Amino acid sequence: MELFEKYSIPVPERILLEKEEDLDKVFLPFPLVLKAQVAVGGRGKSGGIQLVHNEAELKEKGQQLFRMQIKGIPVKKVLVARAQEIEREFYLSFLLERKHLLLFLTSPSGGVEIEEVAAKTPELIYQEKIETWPGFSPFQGKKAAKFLGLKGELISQFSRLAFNLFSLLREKDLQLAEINPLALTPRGLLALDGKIIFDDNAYFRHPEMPSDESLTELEREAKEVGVAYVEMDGDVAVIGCGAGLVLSSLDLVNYLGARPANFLDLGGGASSEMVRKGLEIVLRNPRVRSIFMNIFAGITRCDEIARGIVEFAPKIPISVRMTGTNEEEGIRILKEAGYQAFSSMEEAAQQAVLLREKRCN
Amino acid sequence: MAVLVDENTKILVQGITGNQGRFHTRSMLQAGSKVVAGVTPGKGGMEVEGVPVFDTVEEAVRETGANASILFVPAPFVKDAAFENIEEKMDPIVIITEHVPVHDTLEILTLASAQQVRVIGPNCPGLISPEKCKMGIMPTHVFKKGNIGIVSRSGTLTYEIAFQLTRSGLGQSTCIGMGGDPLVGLVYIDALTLFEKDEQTQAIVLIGEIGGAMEEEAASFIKEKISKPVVAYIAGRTAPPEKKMGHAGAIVSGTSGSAEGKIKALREAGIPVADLPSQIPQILKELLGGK
Repeated sequence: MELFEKYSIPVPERILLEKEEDLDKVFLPFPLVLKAQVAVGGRGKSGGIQLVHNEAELKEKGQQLFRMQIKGIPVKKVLVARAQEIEREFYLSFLLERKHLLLFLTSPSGGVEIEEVAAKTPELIYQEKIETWPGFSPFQGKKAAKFLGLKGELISQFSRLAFNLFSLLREKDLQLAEINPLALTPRGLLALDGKIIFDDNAYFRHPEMPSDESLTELEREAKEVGVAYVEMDGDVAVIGCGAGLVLSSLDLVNYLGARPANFLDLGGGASSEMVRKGLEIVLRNPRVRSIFMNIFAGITRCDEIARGIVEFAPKIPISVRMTGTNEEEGIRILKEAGYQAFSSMEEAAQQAVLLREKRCN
Repeated sequence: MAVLVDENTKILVQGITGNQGRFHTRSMLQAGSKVVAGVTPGKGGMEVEGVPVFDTVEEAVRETGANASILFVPAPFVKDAAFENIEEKMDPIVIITEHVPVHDTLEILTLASAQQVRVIGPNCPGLISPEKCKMGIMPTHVFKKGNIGIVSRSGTLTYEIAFQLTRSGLGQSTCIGMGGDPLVGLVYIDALTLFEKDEQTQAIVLIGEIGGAMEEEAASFIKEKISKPVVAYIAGRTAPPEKKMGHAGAIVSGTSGSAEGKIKALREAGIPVADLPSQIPQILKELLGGK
């Protein structure tokens, strides 16, 4: 919302609370809207948005929000904003997307997720491809304003606001800049809520941008180490090099009737140290009962991976698939240390699933 | 024949003096590729693995006749390097570098399409026409010359599947890794169009994964425009939802970006979808044998 303000996009008076005690510091006139700040969609439906009319309600609902989880993510911040007299709610966004590259989207059906609008009433979505150069021009906003049914002064107000949102997307390296809902109030158009997705790859030129808050503790740690980790609900830990092959390995575990505990991609050319760190991260999940490691080595070296495993010496049974660069050496190191190693991915996965069952008994 | 790259491709390596550039230049040369020039500003006059290094692409093209480029430069410098190669009409331009800001990719792709040159990547393994030209970072021994075209969003999964094909005696015409970024240059339908026209290619393997709507788009394209047999594999059936962004493309086309949605779209278009990578060779053999 601060970013919206910086780009002259009108937003309601509000205060961001970072802890429960801050509820005492709210001095805005009632009624107020409380919004749990989590980076997942559909929080309205999950009870993450509450309207309060007095001090007592503010305390009660505020505490509830601070103590809840939305889609597994704990609420750490709550936004308190003045409730607005809303005449209509719109949707407005700019995004980078493969087919059109730069896309402008708006809809008279705001306040709900755009995916839902797209699925149920696609005729209510206005979309236009924007040329990279010269970019978005206000006249394009005026055409869209007509589609939304705006009249008079509101037409220019909307196109100015859209222009500012586009500048925000381009200047701050955003993949998505979204206002939803964009409310029509007696005071004009107001961005009641919004979402931006910052491109992490552009961090080097925007050190001021915040990092992704939707990650779990372990996922954040993994990111710092330099591996991609996603927690899942099963008990077979999956580790590999390269996102596609790891995804495929998860599917294989599932195909064999077990459930993966995580996704962990070591990336290309992983060192034995990376392997140790990767193993450490997956084993911090107490549900893990066996490990399936799938290594197709191109720039990665099998012997390096094998050394990492032997040095770490996991206490949970592990089954390794190794093929590619220095495969024989890698398998030899593992076998000598008493680990299971295979050159076929299916055999190794099958073994990991079996090892897990043995532990059940 | 093969597509995009073959024995006539004269490769320029941008960023040849870095670790990655040097290592893969050697590997490409060993694979039989014609690497004719390298470019690193300020290092003109050097040689890397016997390949002459120039300060600018313009100079390199003039001196060596290089006609295609592969980029190993660090992410913050990719945009300028790509612009330089587009200016010289290098085609294709393969961008190996990962972590390129997506707004830089946006500008690269816009300029490339205006100049009508093809970009592969960024964040991709490149491409290989086995035993003719390797323009990428893939392990060479996995591939073998033959008549199957592969196009994929994932690097390692391509190696895995190519390896299984090779072991089953099915060689490849060209294998293309499109890259995993939200915006990439060459996409499935471009590759499919090339494979359809290529005499060497007799069947196509399409390797997809969750996110976006490219596979759905490819499914309807294959149904309408592709006469050669296609086998697909989609990774990520068990991936947790809501964990990764990159579904913007899917929003627009009204799909979910899920593996199920993609598999359904492909099967409805009459394209067999393998449950496991290891099933692909058998399906291909049946399709080819039936002809």
